[in-house]
Amino acid sequence: MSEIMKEEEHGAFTSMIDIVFLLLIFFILQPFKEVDRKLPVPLKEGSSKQPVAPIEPVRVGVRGRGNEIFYTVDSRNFGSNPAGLAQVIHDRALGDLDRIPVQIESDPEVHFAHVLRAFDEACKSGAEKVGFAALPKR
Amino acid sequence: MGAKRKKGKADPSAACEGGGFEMTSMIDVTFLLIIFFMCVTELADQSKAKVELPVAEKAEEDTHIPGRVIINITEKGERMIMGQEYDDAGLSRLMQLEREASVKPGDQFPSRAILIRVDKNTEYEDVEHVMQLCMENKLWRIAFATKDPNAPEKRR
Repeated sequence: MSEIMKEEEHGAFTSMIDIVFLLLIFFILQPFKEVDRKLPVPLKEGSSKQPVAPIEPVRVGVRGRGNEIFYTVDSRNFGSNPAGLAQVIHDRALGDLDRIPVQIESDPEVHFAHVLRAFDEACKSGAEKVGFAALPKR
Repeated sequence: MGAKRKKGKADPSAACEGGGFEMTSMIDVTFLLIIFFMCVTELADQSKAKVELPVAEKAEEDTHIPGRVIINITEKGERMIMGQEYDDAGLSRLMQLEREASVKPGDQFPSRAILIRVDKNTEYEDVEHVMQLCMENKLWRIAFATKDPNAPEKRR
């Protein structure tokens, strides 16, 4: 009788270990599953209907090449650290960011991470209309 | 899983006696295979090329949209879709098809945005060129894929 009990206990342990291993594999692989985030960008022609009168935008520049860059706000040098850019954009637009658009102007050889950072800062400033300026045709 | 297992050395002939076989091991193996294939299909997502995404704090969670076009732009500026490289003409043709599929009759705007996954070290002119193509093909809605700012940095 006790032999049967022992065998049954052993059997239950085997399934338990199986399940533990399955869970272990599942949780080990979980960090590899990377979920992207997204930043929506409305393109120029489709972003607004017929404008009544053109409004002068806040121009945020990303100048330089590669990772050696600096930011500008309306041609004024802001330096290479984008922290605080959102506040400057907000102040430049006098808080009227529902109406005044922000335009990101970038040099062609700048790495995309810096351009997106400028876009992110513009969004953080509370701007409703943020867009990219087209590069001059070569 | 509930079947009994014998203690000590297993007799391989015992399982075959009477035409039966070990259901427990069979179920275990099946579960392992299911988990393996689930993980492999998730990890080997063809639509997402290996690019190091930039970080953005204002980005929102991306949801899976069936049929959506995902353009990957690598560090060297190559445009990859589903593991294949596209030139300007090919990309334009694909965008025209996407426009036909995503813009309902009478609408100006596509019902879904194109997702552009750009490597953080790609030069801006390569990205600008793809945005230009989107505009030429009247695909006004695009979104840039970004990385979660709280995600750990990958070793290269």
